[in-house]
Order: sequence, then structure tokens, then C-alpha cells
Amino acid sequence: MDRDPGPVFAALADPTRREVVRLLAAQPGLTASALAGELPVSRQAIAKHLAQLRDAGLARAEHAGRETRYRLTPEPLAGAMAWMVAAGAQWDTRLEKLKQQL
Amino acid sequence: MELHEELGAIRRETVLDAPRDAVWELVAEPEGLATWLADDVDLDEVAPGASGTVTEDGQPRHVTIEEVQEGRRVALSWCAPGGEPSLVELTLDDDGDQRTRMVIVEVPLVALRVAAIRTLHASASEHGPQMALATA
Repeated sequence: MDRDPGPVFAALADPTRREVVRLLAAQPGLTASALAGELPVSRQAIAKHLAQLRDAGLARAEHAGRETRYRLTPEPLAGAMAWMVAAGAQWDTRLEKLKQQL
Repeated sequence: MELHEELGAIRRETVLDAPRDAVWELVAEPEGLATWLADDVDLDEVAPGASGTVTEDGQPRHVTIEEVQEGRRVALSWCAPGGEPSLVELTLDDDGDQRTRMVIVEVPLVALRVAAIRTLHASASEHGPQMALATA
């Protein structure tokens, strides 16, 4: 059974976190400071967003000397996609039934 | 990307070959919903706050009617045991005299909650610290 997709939906519902995900997808291994340099939010705010992405299983931290670098771990996206595909297919079925009533 | 996709929402839009009042009967009455939304609809009425159970393929979901805009819109929340709670919005519009455009959106509740909190924060910073306290 798929993992609960709720944390992934919560993580990606925030536009700043989506920007963090886009930046990490393009440049794996960015630090929180580098991310803060690319986005109009503080380093502290970036740290919170990174923590939420890690809690949702979407990113991991790598410690390299005094630096902490971040990489995406996109596996949990599969559960969220599966929810959307299954729920979408159910609506297609329901709409077919609705059309038969009219 | 549109907002609904970013929030993990599903959207379906279709034009039905019937006037809006005919479609509305299938949306705003439990007996109507039972003909297409699920195999069994156990709900006293389609009115805000009404709750019950809909069963589809043997799987029950607890359902609550959240909002009804007469002739036009029904919003409900539902969740299967162990499933992802979501909000569903069914919206009807005239498409000429004899046809109806129906838009269905289903969004995970958790995504809506995050978006709502952001809106509160934005509104709090626009209105100053007092508003921020009130919404904290």
C-alpha cells in the first residue's frame, strides 16, 4: 500500500517550498544559504522549509565538513501521483454514469 | 502551472446534454447522487452540515456537505477510512439553453489548509500587528 500522500501535498502546497524543490532539482547539493540567496526569503525561513521537505521525505541533508547540502529524494511523489491518478479515474467513471442519467 | 495542480487537485470539466435544472436534481438530492456519485448514498439531504456515508466499490466514505449555492454549486468533504481527506466542488453553468457545463475539482484538505494559512499570514502582514495577533 502507498504511503500516506498527505505530507507530500502539504509540503508542495507552499509556493516557496515548490521553488526550493525546483532549485534543488536544477542544482542538487545547494546549501540553505545558497537557496536563500536565490529566493526572497531569509535563511531561517529556508531552513524551516527544508525541514518540512525532509519530514515529507522529499529531501535529505548531507553533511560535508561544516556545510550541509540538500538533495531531493523524489520517491514519495509517486504516492501523491498515485492518489491523483486513482481519484481522477474515479471521476471519469462517475461522469460516465452521470451522462447515462441525462 | 495553475493553482489547482500545484495543490494536488484533480479537475474535470464536461458539457452535459441537459439543462442546468435537470443536472441540479442529480447533484442536490441524495437520490440523484446515488445514480452516479457512488453505489450507495446514505445522506438525509444535500444541505450545509449534513453528513452521512457514500459507498463505492464496497468502500465507504464519510461525507459532509460543506456548501450549497442553489442551482449552481455543491461543495462536500469526504474521506475513506485510512484515505486522504479531500474537498470536492461540483459547479454547474449554463452552456447555451439546453446544455450544462460541469466542473469538478477535488483537492486534498491538507493542501488547502497550507494555502489558507499562507493567506492568513499575508493578510496579517498587510493589516499590521493587531491583525496578526488576531489571526495567530
